[in-house]
Amino acid sequence: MSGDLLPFPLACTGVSTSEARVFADEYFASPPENRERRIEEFRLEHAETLLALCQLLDRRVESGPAEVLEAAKLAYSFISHLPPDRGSFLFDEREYYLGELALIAGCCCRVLSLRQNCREWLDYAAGWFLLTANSAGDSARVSYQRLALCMEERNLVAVLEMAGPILECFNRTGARELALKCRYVQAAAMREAGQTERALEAFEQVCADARELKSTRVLGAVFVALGQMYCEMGKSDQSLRLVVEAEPFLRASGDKVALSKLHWGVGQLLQSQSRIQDALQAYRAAQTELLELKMQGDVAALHLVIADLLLETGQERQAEWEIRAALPIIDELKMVPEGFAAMSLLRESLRRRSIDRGALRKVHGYFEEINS
Amino acid sequence: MDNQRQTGSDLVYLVLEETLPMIHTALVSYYGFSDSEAETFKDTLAIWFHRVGRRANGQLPSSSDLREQLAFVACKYARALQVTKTNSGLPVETGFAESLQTPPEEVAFALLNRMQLAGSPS
Repeated sequence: MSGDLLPFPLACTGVSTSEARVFADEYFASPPENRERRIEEFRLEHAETLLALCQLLDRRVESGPAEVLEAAKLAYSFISHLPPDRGSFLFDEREYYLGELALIAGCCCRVLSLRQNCREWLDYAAGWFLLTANSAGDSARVSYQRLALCMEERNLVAVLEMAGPILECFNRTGARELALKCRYVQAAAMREAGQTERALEAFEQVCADARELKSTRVLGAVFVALGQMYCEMGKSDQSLRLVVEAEPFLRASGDKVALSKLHWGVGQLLQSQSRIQDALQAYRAAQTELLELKMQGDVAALHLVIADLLLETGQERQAEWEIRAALPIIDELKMVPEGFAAMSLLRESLRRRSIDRGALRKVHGYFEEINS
Repeated sequence: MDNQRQTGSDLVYLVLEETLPMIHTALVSYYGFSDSEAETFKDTLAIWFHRVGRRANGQLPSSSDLREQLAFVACKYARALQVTKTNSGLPVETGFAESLQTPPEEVAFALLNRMQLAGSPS
């Protein structure tokens, strides 16, 4: 340790717990265009306010990842530029809250398919947490986000390699919800690896444990995955029962991300029953919801799914429009590095105005497998 | 009592109650704090620790992990303060200057071991 100037740690009680919650609520409720101008009003230089804000942002990721990302980025920037003589941080609190805000931003970027940004934020989070007193638990949370990112990038080898030690870490420290999230990702990797029965069993166990733990966050994601799996396995009745249970639950918990993906799953269910128009309607509804959540990657994936369905019903021109709407988003987000060949085929077929359905399926198959 | 039956706040109070007396001793007899400095330092530590307890969103670590974190932070910052004093020319008694050479982790672990030997809850 260096001999840098270190003031005697005196607790400043400028903001009470209840005041901090009010400041955090006001900060988040403030329109983003005014938030920066008013930032001094929200008392973010107090650790108590930051604690309330981080808890608020963490709860809101599933109901509006883009809004949470903006709020987390601004708070991070404010704290990281705060002069050393300002702020009421004790011991490692400044480093901890910078790490926490970066972790929240990283998680939002992952949900929004902003993968490069996600990696950068997770690196910042890891760096700040290393400077805190007990970094093991927080570092493991960063590792979980990296695991989930690998899953979304279909890096199954990395997922299966990383999941074990991270899960063990959460089990040892009694972090039950985080352990459940890890098991969810493991099950998703099994599903993608074609181990359907094992994956189903694992998802069902995660679902049962999430119910016991009352983890709304894990339940939302696992409802979506199970609904899709039942549908793919031809178990329409089970899929429908799950949708009926999940819909009011997700509405009540405010998990808009899972709700929109559930509606996507409803489209798949209807399509499997050859109810093409109803399926199209369900897909479009899900797409509108995803658009509102600014989840551009999923919006693009649904364009391709809809295009495929339109081709099935002989509506080539409409299908072409759907694909043309998806391609710029896929390019911008650099979403299918592994599907490059299929993307090239698809582009070429578009140019010839005769859509290569095999290429289309390869590209949207890539999205469908990762959308949960 | 295990974590299941305790609220996070109960656990934080319990850990503070068990650990602060030992920390006080270490501050005064190992790092050379005056009694009043040690009291102020402990008050601050308690405020920080209550916030740590609320960081976890209801998923608190075990009491032993919490105790470890509290002892480690106390030793780390106590040492850093005394190092600062020394570097800025303020007097630190000769006996204590030597203790600043010991890594704070070592002091914290010794402290925790002494707590266990004294029959504190596991």
